[in-house]
Amino acid sequence: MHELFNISNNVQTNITPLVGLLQWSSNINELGERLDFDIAYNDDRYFPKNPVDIGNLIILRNQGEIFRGIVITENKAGKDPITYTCFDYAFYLNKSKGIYQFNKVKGNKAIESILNDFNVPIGSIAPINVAISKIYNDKYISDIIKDILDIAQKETGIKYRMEMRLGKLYIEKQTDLIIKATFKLASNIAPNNVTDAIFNPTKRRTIEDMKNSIKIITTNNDKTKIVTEAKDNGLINKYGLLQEVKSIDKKDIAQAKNIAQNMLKDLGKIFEENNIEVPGDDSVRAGRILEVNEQVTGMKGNYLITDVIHTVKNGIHRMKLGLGVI
Amino acid sequence: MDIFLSINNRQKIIKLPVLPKEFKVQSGMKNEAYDTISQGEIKLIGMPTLKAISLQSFFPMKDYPFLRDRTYTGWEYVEMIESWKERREPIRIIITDTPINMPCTIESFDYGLQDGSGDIYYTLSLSEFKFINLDQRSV
Repeated sequence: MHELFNISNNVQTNITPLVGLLQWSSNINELGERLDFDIAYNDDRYFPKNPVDIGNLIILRNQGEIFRGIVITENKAGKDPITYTCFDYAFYLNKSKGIYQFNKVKGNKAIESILNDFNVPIGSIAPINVAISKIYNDKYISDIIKDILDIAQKETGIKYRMEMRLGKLYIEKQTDLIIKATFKLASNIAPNNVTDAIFNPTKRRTIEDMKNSIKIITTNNDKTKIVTEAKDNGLINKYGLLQEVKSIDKKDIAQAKNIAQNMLKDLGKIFEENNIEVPGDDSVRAGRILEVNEQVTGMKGNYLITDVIHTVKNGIHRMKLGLGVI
Repeated sequence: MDIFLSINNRQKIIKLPVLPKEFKVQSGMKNEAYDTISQGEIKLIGMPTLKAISLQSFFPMKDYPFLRDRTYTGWEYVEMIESWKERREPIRIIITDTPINMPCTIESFDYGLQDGSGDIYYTLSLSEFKFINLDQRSV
């Protein structure tokens, strides 16, 4: 059973009995998770006083801790339940700007130094073997971190996933976490795989964003030079030429081939967007990988969870998943 | 068997002078059916709803030999229940010889005259009230 705790003035209050709707979500493009809940309001004298206020710490627990964050927004409307929106500590990285200059700093070291400046507790950061030489001016901290991971992905082909767990930030390789999501119809019944109870599957396939030819260029004293290119002739024959041009700094020329190859690998495919609704499992978060076998729309294999919205209402836990190809 | 209604820890008590000829407690569940594409409908078990009970009887205007209580007459009962509504507090229903002992709210109270006897016929609908205690501890 999901339980929600409010912590303020060194007192922890279990506010679950007052909560109607509970909803938390994560998205692969965003650092940080969001939690929404509403609290019953009544002015009769038997009704408990609402302890929740902006800035309070909120913890969501089930078997383990699912979410820990700060109340950011409060919405009141007449005598309706009061709704609250909370974000985890990555909120501060999303809303703060900074100035950083890195000169051949290893990716994970660069990220660590940023996180230390903002007092974000670090769980673990996977080794990111790229040298970052870049000036970040007037940029959101989360965008700087994402840019570093993006540089790493282009050079090494490794994708990373960021998430907060127990109030600490983890940056890990995306492939490290394949989850098995299950649900129980009742507490005394053996668990079933959530993908056996799919509701409302939708699938969208498009070559809108496909790039099957990548050209890497550098510009030096107004002269533009093509450094390297990468092509997928099979895709070009079938779908036509879709070309991307990426300009890099002179100092990155040594990496040009890698960058071209990795961009081609990333963009040279049919893009898929799948959505399913399934019973809820707490371990499902954006960036993790789920195995799906769904015959009707034809989803088979491992899928990347791009976004997920968990809803608990009336004791029933459900989730909406967006699935992308890895 | 007797039916007692009381407010604020037995500050005021009504013992029904005439018992209803029947009553039923409604006790439901909020379950949801869920349409999966591979197994059809499955049932997801939700949470219990609030219990409800409805009493239908009359408050006598004159003395009958079968009355179980003669503390108040007719409109006095009505006035009392009306004043309980105004207080916006939960009341308690106890039905002796049964396990029913439940804090309730008054959902509706319909009353009126019907056959020239002067007795006040009523339907009192009650719904369960749950006291909420928030668990607190220092951290």
